[in-house]
Amino acid sequence: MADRTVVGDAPTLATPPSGTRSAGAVAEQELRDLWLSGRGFAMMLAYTVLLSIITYLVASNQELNFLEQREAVSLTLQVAVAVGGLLVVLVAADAVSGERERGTLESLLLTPSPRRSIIVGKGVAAVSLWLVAFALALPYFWWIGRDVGTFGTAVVGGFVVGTLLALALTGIGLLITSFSQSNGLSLALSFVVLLALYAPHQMPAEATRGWAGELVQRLDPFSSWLLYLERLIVNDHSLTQDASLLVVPALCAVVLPALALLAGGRLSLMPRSGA
Amino acid sequence: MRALARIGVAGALLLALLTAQDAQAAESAVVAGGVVVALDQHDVAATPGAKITFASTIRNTGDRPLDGYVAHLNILSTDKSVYVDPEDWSPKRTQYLDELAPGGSTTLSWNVRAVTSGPILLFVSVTSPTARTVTSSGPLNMTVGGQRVVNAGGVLPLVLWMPAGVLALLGATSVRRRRLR
Amino acid sequence: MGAIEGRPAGLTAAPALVSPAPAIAVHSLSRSYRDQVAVSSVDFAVRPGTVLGLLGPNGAGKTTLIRMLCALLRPDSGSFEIAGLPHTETRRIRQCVGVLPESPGYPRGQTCQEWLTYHGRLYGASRREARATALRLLGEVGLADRAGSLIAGLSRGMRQRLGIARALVNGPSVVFLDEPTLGLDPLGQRQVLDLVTRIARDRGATVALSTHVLAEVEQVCDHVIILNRGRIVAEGTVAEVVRRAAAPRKGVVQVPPRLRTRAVDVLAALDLVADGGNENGHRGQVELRLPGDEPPETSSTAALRGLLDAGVPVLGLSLEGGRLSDAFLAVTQGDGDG
Repeated sequence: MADRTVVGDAPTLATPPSGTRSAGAVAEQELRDLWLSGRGFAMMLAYTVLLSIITYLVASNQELNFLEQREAVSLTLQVAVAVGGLLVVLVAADAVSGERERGTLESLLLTPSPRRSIIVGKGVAAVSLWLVAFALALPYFWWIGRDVGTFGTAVVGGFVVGTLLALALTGIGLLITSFSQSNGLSLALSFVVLLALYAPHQMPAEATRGWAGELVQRLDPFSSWLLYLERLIVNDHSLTQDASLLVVPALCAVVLPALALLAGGRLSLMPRSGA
Repeated sequence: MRALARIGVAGALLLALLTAQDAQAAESAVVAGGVVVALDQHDVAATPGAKITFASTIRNTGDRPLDGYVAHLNILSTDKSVYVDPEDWSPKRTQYLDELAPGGSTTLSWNVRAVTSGPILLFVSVTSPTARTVTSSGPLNMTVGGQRVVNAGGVLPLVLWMPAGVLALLGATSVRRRRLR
Repeated sequence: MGAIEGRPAGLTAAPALVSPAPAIAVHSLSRSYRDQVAVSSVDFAVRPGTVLGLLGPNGAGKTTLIRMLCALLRPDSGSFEIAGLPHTETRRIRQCVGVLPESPGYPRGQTCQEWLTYHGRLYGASRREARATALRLLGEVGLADRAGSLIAGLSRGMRQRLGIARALVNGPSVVFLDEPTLGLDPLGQRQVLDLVTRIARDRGATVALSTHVLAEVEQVCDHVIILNRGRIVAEGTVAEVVRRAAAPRKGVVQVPPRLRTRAVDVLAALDLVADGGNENGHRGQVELRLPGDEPPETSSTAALRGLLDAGVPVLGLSLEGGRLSDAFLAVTQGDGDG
């Protein structure tokens, strides 16, 4: 039996890992969990089926005029970005509250990894959904837009807008999930926020013409990016012509993840219990 | 006294009525006889997607200034089988004129993009704030040719193989999970 | 570096501390949830290498106490040190403790090795070191052949052993095991207890074992703390706790059957018998109830003298050992149900 005297049996201590290292480990594991488990590919399957349906409908319309073809490109692009963003929110909203419900959060919080690193790692996994979705959408963009010369514009504009949106929605999802008691609540709240952001875009055309309507459209990140893509593809504007419409989405892409990181520093086993 | 007052009121009313009629008549005369709208082009050929720019000159031929007048671009097809949504052709089809002095003129520029093939008619209308009469320009005849048909070739492989490829990846993860059990 | 067996080689280690500091030192620690007091002014210290039993009825505050000591929950007041580290050094404390939480969840889609490797990396090990540690620990807990299996396919007992392996992934100096045998069959319980013993013996780690199974505590623990309603109501070795709790002890005296009634009367007069001496016992046997606040020899001597003076020959006398379960009931029932 080993000697249990105090002197000489004192413990050795190791240094806690850095935030970057921890974030990398969490990101790698989350990516494995998302893609190797099949969950990510299941979402991508639904996504590609949707894009295939849209593309086939466009192809079957032999009378499509020039503008409608551009509108088809715009629609496909908007669907790709919107659905990609939706999937990002789904994963981000499950990030913490899902672990809480499954009972796996405690083991994670017992490690010396900084809380913010855990949030960063989970955010990376959520954003990966958008990147894969965008890559899968490229053949569709090419096919629909090849006759109207919009492929290059669609790719660049779609990637910029989609990435800004993905970052913003990841921030929203992570913020909500960090404070939600249950996973159901987190998902429901995230959907409500998403719908609330989308609502101004559904305003009647007359309501958007006044200064108030225009202001709401510009302040709402969802409406801003939809309008930007529409003008880029349908109205053949240049990439920088309506850059002012991307100010709010860009701000959201920075502020919301930053808020999520701040909140992540106070991540606890049960929200509002303190750690 | 009462009779005098009644006569006075009746006289005032008659005067107001005559003045209003006079004003309307004067205005009608100005509108009808004082505005001329002319386009700088009469015929143009285009292909779907082409952008066309033309100008309209609006001249005040009357002896009173024109204020608050509005110019509007009209787009239609004379072929009822051709659908034209003016919003698609030109999003900005209304322009508000500055005050036009008697004898003065102003030139407005209009941008149009050809959306669909067929015979298209464009003209500019000008009206006063009260819109009692409208003056229009002559027609700009646009012939848009070259029907664009979507090239459907290669769509089936795309719409089938993309989801199939993702399904294959999904299947691979399922096989992996089964092997690990 | 005096390496402790099982510590991952790759972890950067500070020089060994030669310090008599307790492994766990708690000073007036308190924590409440809204109006509910979970832990109230708890004070104790544990020497390194001790196996500590943490007992208490449901809701006594054991899990809350453990969560505070793992730096998972912030105390409302008081302080503590783990391996000499003050409670404010939360990350360093988490670096040097290992924890098996009560009813932990496991990711169903990961393999045992994958999960342990992941947690090893979260403690700062490289991928290779973490993988090697994971395989070694799986061998130690008897799951070597399940390294590549999905956690979803493991039995409850296997998952508990996996959880213990995870608690050891960082080579901790203090290990908290919250209900490690919960829901296990006797064989599973035995396996886990053996593991606990080996952790303390082979690794020199301090183990804090929270459990309802008092037999386990009697078996493996050097030191016992009994909590009730957030307060410590008993502390010490098992023997000390039993003695201090003044739990009544039992014994049996054998007399000639025809003199049993007289024997019961004599012993009742000395207040050494309960329930008529257990009428259902064997003929001639009288069940004794010895008070816990005096040595059993004193009480049994008084019983023998009384019987002999009354002319009742004593054919035999046996005393049962004081049990921890008796002490537990004595100290917790006094405070009401937990």
